[in-house]
Amino acid sequence: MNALQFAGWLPDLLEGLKITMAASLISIVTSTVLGAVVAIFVAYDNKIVTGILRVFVSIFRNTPLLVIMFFIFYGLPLINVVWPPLLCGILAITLNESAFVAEILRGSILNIPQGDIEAAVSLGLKKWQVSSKIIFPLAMRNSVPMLVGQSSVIVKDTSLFSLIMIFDLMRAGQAYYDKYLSSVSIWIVGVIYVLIFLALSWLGARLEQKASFKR
Amino acid sequence: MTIWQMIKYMLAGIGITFELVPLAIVTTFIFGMILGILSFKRIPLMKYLLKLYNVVMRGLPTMVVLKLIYYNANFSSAFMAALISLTLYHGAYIGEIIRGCFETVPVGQMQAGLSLGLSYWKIMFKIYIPQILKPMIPMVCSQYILLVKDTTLVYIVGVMDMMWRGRQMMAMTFDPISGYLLIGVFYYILCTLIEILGRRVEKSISIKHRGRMLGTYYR
Repeated sequence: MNALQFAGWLPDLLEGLKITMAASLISIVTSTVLGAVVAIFVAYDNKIVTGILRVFVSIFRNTPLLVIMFFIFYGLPLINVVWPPLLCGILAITLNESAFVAEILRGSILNIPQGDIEAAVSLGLKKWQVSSKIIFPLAMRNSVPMLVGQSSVIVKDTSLFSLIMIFDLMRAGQAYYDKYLSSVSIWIVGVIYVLIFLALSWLGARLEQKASFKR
Repeated sequence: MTIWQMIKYMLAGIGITFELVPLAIVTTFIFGMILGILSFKRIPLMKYLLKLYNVVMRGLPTMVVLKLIYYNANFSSAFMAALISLTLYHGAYIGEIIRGCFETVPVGQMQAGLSLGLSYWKIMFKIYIPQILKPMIPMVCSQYILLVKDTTLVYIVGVMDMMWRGRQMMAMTFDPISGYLLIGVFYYILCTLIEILGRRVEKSISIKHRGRMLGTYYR
């Protein structure tokens, strides 16, 4: 790799980095929110709602993200729903990852001490109050480390955007390879992904310290 | 093309997927077991190397690993590159799971084994591994679901698997909706089978959950 080629490629890399950062930030927020909504309904423990959500979670957990993404990107235009690629990608990630987030939160809901719930019930709170104001915040707080881990998975998932015509970090690396047949760019992209992961896990450790409390 | 013809066309690619998935499961397990045992042993310098490897593999997307291996290592076939990269990638996760399982075994068993004069490896293979084989299955299964889902990616290096055949077919039929639905259903069935196995084992080993959901308080 010579310096000139690299200098020419640098703007591309920064552009890709920008898109990856923005897309993963949006996807992390949307999938955590959707997962949390699903989890509140699971905490509410209505048989029919829980059944429907089970099906949702099972479908989106067990289908590859790539297939969902291609389905939305290539399939929906056939029924006259044409969305920009970025929206398709974020929608696919949101559907797929919110299932994982919901499953994480369901696990913590099951692990909440029975005494906490009984105390809330005996105070005379309504059912939706218990589920949204007692169970849900507790579950959210207990699952901070796992949620942070899931957000680093989401960052990695955005690398699939390169397959649906979005110029993200991965695409930038691939563009250099296609032009000069040198995989140095992909190594650089890999290092950047690892750095993002390290930053995220550092942030997660800080957040975990804040969220944990002594009983 | 009717649905039946589509299925028939794609079944030609199913062979590769059914070759790749079991092979990757076996190699990942073996590689992960080696990593797990090595990182449990805490060899001075090795410890940091393994930690670095873990961080790198957890930080990289599968696609980056796949492309790096495919472009840099000169494998004779794309299939081999795909298999190796899946093994390297998911082996790190499986290794971490196995190390975690080793940590749950009481230290006393290691001390007892050593005081009986057994070697480290003998303790590992005769005492530790048989104990963790069953409790590890639920966690390993959820990792294998991710592995199966990652095998959809191998078409980008030119392995002619289910996804590749499906995309070929869609270039002819211009019907991505039913095409991707078929692929999705296929992977859904495959992953659900693994999930069911994990659930079964989990139920048989875990203590019955005594906690009650909210519904029991409000009738």
